[in-house]
Amino acid sequence: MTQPLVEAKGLWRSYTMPRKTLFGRRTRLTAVRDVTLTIGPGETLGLVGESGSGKSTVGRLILGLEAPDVGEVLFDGQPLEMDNRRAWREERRNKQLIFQDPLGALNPRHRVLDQVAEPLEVFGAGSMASRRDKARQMLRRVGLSDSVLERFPNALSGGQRQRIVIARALILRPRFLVCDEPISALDVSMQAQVVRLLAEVRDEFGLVMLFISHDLAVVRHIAHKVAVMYLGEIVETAPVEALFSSPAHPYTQALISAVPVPDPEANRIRILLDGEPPQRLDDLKGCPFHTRCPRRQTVCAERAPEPVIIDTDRVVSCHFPTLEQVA
Amino acid sequence: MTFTYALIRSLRGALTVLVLLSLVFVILRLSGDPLDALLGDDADPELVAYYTALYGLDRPIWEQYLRYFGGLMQGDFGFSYRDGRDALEVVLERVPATLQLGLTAIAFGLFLSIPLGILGALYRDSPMDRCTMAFAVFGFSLPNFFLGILLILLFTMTLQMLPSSGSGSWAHMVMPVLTLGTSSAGSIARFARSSMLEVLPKPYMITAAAKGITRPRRITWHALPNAAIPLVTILGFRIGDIIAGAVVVEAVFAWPGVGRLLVSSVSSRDLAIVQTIVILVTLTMVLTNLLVDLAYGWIDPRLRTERKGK
Amino acid sequence: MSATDEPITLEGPALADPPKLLQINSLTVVFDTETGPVEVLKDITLTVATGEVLCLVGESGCGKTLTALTTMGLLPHGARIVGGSVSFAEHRIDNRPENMMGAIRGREITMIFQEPVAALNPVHSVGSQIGEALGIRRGLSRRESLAETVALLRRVGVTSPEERLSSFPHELSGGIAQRVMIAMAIATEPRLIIADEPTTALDVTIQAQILELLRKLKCELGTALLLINHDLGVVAEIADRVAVMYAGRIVEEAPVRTLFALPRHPYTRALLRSRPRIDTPSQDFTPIPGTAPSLMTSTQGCAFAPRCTSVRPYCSDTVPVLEVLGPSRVACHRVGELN
Repeated sequence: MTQPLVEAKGLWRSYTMPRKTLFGRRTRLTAVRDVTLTIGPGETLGLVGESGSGKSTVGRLILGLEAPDVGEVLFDGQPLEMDNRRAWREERRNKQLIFQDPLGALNPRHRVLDQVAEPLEVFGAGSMASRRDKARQMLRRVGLSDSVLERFPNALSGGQRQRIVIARALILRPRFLVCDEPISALDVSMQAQVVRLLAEVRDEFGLVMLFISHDLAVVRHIAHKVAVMYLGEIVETAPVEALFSSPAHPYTQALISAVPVPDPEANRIRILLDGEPPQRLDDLKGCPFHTRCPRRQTVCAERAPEPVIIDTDRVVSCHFPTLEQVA
Repeated sequence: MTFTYALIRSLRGALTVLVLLSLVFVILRLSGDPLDALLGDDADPELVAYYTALYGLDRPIWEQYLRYFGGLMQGDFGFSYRDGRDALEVVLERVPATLQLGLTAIAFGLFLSIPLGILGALYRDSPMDRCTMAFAVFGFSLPNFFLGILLILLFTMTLQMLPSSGSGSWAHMVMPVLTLGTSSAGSIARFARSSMLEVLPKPYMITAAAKGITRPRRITWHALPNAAIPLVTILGFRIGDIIAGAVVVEAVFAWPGVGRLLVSSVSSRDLAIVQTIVILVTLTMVLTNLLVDLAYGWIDPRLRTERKGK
Repeated sequence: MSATDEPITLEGPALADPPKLLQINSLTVVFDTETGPVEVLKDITLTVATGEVLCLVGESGCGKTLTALTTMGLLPHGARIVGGSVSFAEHRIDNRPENMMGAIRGREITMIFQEPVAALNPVHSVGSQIGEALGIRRGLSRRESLAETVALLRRVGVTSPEERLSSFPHELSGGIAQRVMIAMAIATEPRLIIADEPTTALDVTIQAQILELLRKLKCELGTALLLINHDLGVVAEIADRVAVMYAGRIVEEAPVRTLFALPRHPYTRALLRSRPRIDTPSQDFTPIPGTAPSLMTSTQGCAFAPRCTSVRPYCSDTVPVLEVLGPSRVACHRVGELN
């Protein structure tokens, strides 16, 4: 078996919540709980879940922007060097991040061309002219005309800004790209354009990608493998087609069934969940999904299920997974 | 609970007072000998030595400090070097005059500025709005003493309508109150207008309109409480300005308040009096801040620390 | 479709139709700018029948929300109606002075919004905000209003409603806040609810709950729904009829099944193909190139022409008008040739 490019092993991360009373106990919110995942060469892993599921935290942990409380992240088989500044900086070259708000990611006072050329300057690559030339080419590659080069981010549309962010992320030719909700701040028609673009550049540059999104339809079209998160835990991992055609975890099933399909004739089974996800505090016992699960049994509230391998590359954490084809 | 909230704030307030008092003590004790001012440069050395021993000025500074705080703990604020009276008594008898002036000025400022600011926001860019803002700029850009002198020139010298100094009747109060109130009114009006303008286009204001709520109620029940949240902060600051302004205004109009006492006590290095005033002013500021914080918690449910049952 | 069908141009209300609950006729709204008025809503004609769900779809900035606010008589500062009319239950409501509109707004027509937490007043409790809608409108006593508020909260699926009364908006999740907004919207048993992207800001499992709730309430109360949405999946689930907007105009309107089975306007077709679907495996979607024009820019001829794959030179000459084509109304110069 080939070595995976990115490996996260047993990641935990919790945050301290503010005290509710003067002498009250400080509660801790577990944002990420025992998360293990691997992304192989040429692979795109879709990480899906609803708000508060901890998927963005996993993205930051894997990039090394934040250190896990427990667990480690391997890149190319090497552990992340959180303490060694130089090694950390060198590694940043290989890993880039694109997140939701392109305006926040860009400096409003710098011209587009300079911002895209900046990473090259930081890593001291080539002359000024050659850097600007590379930046210009990259901007063309992501579909921006030369007319934007000397403009400022504020004068551009959300779609154009996200293209600039993509160009800047790609200019150092990274091997690994984390996209954290890259399209959710964009207009509908822009979303499709940017998804298309990301899939194109991924194939062209041979990128390994972690695609974090709440939009399951988009994930189905860009990912090879999908991990589903609920309250800080990965509840199911599967190859994309297997996950969407026969989801095994009741949460995955409910999630997929909740996405509306643009077809009034479609006769899909809709699984409506009760209530809302609780806050994930330290004292939550059992399966994280047991409070809303339509299939819960007594054991679900008492004991957390262990991850079970149910097929090639398929892992599910549930006491009662669906194992037959749902089709 | 609100009680815990108040307790945390009060403890912080007490700490502020302690730190400030220590600072003031050190600065004042090190800035010069009060006896020079009291007895004159060519005083009899024997007399100087007598008073130095009497007032304990020959002791090491840390001992003076401890003795002073020991006294304070027992409610002893020291005595005035000028007439030997209890410092607290001297200061407190001036407080009513300053309170009268300060509170009237605040009330005048608020009654003038808040409605003007709100109307300015509601009828944005109308002639009235422009007048309000012109008034506001005029109000806070004129220094207190300058406005005071202008008023004296107009009402006393030219029109001969109002007395220029002293106290006793409402006529004596008009000019000091105008002087003191106008500058804070200006900035409060501007602030009221801008926080109202910020609130008016909020989604919940559209919700209120869509609910069919009448405009007067939308403004009073939906907009005002939200606009008041930032306004409370500025009011807290204004109280400080009013106190600072009172020193100047009392001097200009010879108003027999704490401000004028402070000016004369500083020039005669009457340390106990100065310190007592500093304690009083600090306490007032701390109390004001405490009230502002409590008002926040009361107006803005988001700042109440404890959540109610989920 | 037979080719002999004579396209009929709609001018004003068709007299043969029975009166609709909401009837918007040739509504035109301008924004006053420094360089003069700009037409932002152009010749909008829409109807909503009693108990019907009409979905208004389009990209952001196409004028959906402005249409809703105009219907409510809540035009933003600087906007004004320059032509056409809005009628509710056969009464003109576009020319009403503020106080007369009050009899309809918030009573006969209510509204819910995209960001439920922001749409609730942060300094007032849930109970008092619902109570306000109830008490003022129906003149209930405090005790009656309290009981009614609890009943409303229970009806919209809020658990332990008595405890919720004293909650403040920042203590609510998006889903609960939207339920509170819905409770407020049904408090007066309105005949029409206008919902502006009510589920867009919510997680997908919560969106499913809210859509289910709206469907349930619509059946129980017989309320008509004007739902603004950009997600065609949501539209397919809940709509009876759909109107597609582009750059301040209605470009197509049809019953929901017709619209999805037989979209007529090139924009509708492009929109349907433009997003990846969860029920198809391949990368089978085609983004619409370019960006939607801003409402404030005026275009010559068909506004979609610059992005249209079926464009002809004459498309930019004149503005296409809505033509009746079977159950649909379509505004496209090439509608006859393309089908």
